[in-house]
Amino acid sequence: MKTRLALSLSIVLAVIAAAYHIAIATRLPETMPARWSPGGEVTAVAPVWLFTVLNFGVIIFAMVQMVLGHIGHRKGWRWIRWRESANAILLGVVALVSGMHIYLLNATLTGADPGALLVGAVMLVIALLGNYLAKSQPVSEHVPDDVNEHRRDWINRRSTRLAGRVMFGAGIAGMVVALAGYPDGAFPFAVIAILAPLVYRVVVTRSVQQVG
Amino acid sequence: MKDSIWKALSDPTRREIIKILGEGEMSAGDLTRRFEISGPSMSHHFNVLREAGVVSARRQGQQIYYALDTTVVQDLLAVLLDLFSVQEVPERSKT
Repeated sequence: MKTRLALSLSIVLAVIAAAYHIAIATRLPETMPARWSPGGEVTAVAPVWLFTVLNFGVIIFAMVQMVLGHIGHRKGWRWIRWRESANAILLGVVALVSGMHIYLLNATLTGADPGALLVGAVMLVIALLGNYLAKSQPVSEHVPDDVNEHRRDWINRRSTRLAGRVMFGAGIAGMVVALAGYPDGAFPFAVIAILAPLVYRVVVTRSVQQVG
Repeated sequence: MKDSIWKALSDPTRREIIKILGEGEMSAGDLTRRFEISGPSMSHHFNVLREAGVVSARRQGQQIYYALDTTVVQDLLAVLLDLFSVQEVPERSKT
C-alpha cells in the first residue's frame, strides 16, 4: 500500500475518532472503564485523558512510522524494502485504535460491555499481520555464502510464511468466535497464532540439522 | 484489488509458477525447464508476476533467482482461481 494512501486514510480515521470525542466530550465522566471481567463487569477504571493520550499517541506513532518508511525508501535504506506491507499493517493499527476509541467512548456513555467486539478487533489485526507477514520477509540481495547460511535462509522463509498463514487463519477463526459472543474462546487461537510457528521452526531446524 | 495482481493470478501458467515457488527460491532457468514454453514467454510471465509484487527477484551472476512474495490472501486467491480454472480472456477475444 502506497504511503500517501495509507497516510490519507489514517488521517481520515483519526479525524473521525477525534470529532466523535469532541462531540460527546461534555457528556463524558472523568473516568471510564479500562478492564472487564469475563462476565462483563467493570473491574478497573482510568481517567479519560489518559485513554485519549494513549490512543492518539499510538495513532501519531503509526503515522510517523509511515512517513519515516517513505523517507527511508527514497533514500534507499535496505531495511525499508517491505514498506508497502508495513503501511498496510500500520493502517490496520490506526483503524483498530480509532475504532476502539469510538467504541469505548460509546460504551462509557451507554454502559455496554465491549468485550466481544474488542477481542474480535484484536483478532482481526492478528489476521492482518499474518496476511502481510509472509511478504515482509527481507528480500536479500546477499547470496548465501555456504550451505549453513543457505539452510538458515530456507528455514527463515519457510517458517515466516507458515507463521503468516497460521496467524491469518487463527486470527480469522478467533474473530468469528469472539463476534459470535464467546470472546474467551478466541484466546486459544491467539496462543496458536503465536506458538505454532515457533514450534514449527524448532522442528524444521532440528530435522535439517539431522539431515546435514 | 489491484489490476496487476488479478492479471498475475488469472493465468494458469503464472499460478503454476507460484505453486512451484512455494517449494522455495528457484532460478529462472530451472523454472523455465519445468514448462514447455519458450524463454521469451516465460520472461513475460516473470515480468507480470514481478510487476504485481507477487514474486521477488535477485541476480546472481548470469542467473536471476525468483522467490515467492505473496500475502496469505493472494495465496488463497490463487488456490481459488485454480480450483475454478479461471483464466484471462485473450486480447483478441475481447470486444
